[in-house]
Amino acid sequence: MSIIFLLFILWDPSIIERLYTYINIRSLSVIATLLIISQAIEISGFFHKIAINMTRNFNISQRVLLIIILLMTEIVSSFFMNDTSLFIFIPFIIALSKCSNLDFLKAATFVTIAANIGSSLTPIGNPQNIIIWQRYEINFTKFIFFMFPFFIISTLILLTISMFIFSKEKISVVKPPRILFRKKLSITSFLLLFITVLLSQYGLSILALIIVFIVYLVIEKNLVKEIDFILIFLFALMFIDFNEISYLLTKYKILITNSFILRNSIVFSALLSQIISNVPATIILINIVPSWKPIVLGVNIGGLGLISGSMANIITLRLTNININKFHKYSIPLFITILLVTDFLYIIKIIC
Amino acid sequence: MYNNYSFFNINNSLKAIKIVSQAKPYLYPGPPLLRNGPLSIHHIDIPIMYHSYALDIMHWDPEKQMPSPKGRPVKIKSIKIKKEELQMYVNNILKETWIVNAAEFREPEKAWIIPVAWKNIIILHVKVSYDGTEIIPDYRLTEEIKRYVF
Repeated sequence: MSIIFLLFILWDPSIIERLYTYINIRSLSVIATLLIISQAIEISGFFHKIAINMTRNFNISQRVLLIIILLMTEIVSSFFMNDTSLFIFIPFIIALSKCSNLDFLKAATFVTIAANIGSSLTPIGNPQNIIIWQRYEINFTKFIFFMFPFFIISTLILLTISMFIFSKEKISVVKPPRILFRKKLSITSFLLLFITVLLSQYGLSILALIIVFIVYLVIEKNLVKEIDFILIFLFALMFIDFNEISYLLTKYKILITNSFILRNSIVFSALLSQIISNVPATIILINIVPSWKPIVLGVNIGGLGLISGSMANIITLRLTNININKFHKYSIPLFITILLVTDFLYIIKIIC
Repeated sequence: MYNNYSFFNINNSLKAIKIVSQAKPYLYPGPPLLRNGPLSIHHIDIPIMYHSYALDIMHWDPEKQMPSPKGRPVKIKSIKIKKEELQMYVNNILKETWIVNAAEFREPEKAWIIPVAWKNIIILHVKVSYDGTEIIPDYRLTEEIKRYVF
């Protein structure tokens, strides 16, 4: 990202003057706030406790266990960003597979896809949704209502395929011990999440960030010390680089005049996400495509196929050393199916 | 005499030992962490994970391909490691570990410390809540690993 930025400066030094318009401070502060809250909820042990309780006394089939884990992954990623759910559930299945016959690689692939699908439901599920939500100033519930049919259809497709992929073989594991559950931290984090959504809806995301920062500084100082500033800086660089690309595309009238792209925004957004990942694709497309609806569908579908489609896929790759071809064996057919079904339903206005 | 530490019950040490024994089959190695010291002297630490949480680090001796006791990181000048290979070694070592049947209590942290041994050396400490019912992760280490993943 830094190299691209330096190349842009060399190419056209006037980029410096445009910098302040490129970094979307509102989106960036929502992303930063949610990263901190997600981190807090993760270390509070809340979801770990739920996951262990829901799957306790495992004496169920691989299929049922996986379906429970996939649905839980979707729910968590809807409200706490998709990377959080992966940091919870991928290690959970690594641990389970160590003590059972669970097919870990298949399970990791499906959990990653579930995290991407789940995160599409709400404006706070993933960075691309945050950017679109803040940029187009969409009402929080309106966004969920629009994405709900897509979420249900994609979930049904995922679960149907899972039914065929995972065996009925019984899985038998003793209930693992619990991690310390920090009730106060978890309640505070849920409250802060609610406040963040409320304030961000009214364009006060910077205030939300300040509140969250101060509260955690008081109750969990270590959390503030461990904030991943490099990741936030990376998002800022993404805003600069891809807004500049978007600016150049507009300046030289590339893409923007292409009516084919405007008519097929879902497919184009999904394919662009496959090539450059869905957050950069979103930053480019919000400057080109006037309506948010096809972009949000396209970039969320775009996270499903190739491993490069979303940061969540890369996290799984790094957490598990999963074989890329094995990942693609399931993710690409799912990507194509969901893309075709969604595009068709959007054209006939079932998703509208 | 006034007892300011009512949470302490010596019998809970048995519970703490038991819970670590139950968690042992689920332990797995996280990504190896290369620690850089002055004069280009490094050592390798391997975080030991329980679910998504890091519990402690295991010092690794890359020359002997075995763990080094707690408190003795093995300093090396140059380093060549294959992450997958190393994780495979550690996975096998974890299977051979045993839980020491004794606990230490750390009053400021209100926690039991259970040593985990491999052969005749202590290689890990697992922290358990004062009542012996919940495992306490190393949160800072957990976050450090997460940054490595990103």
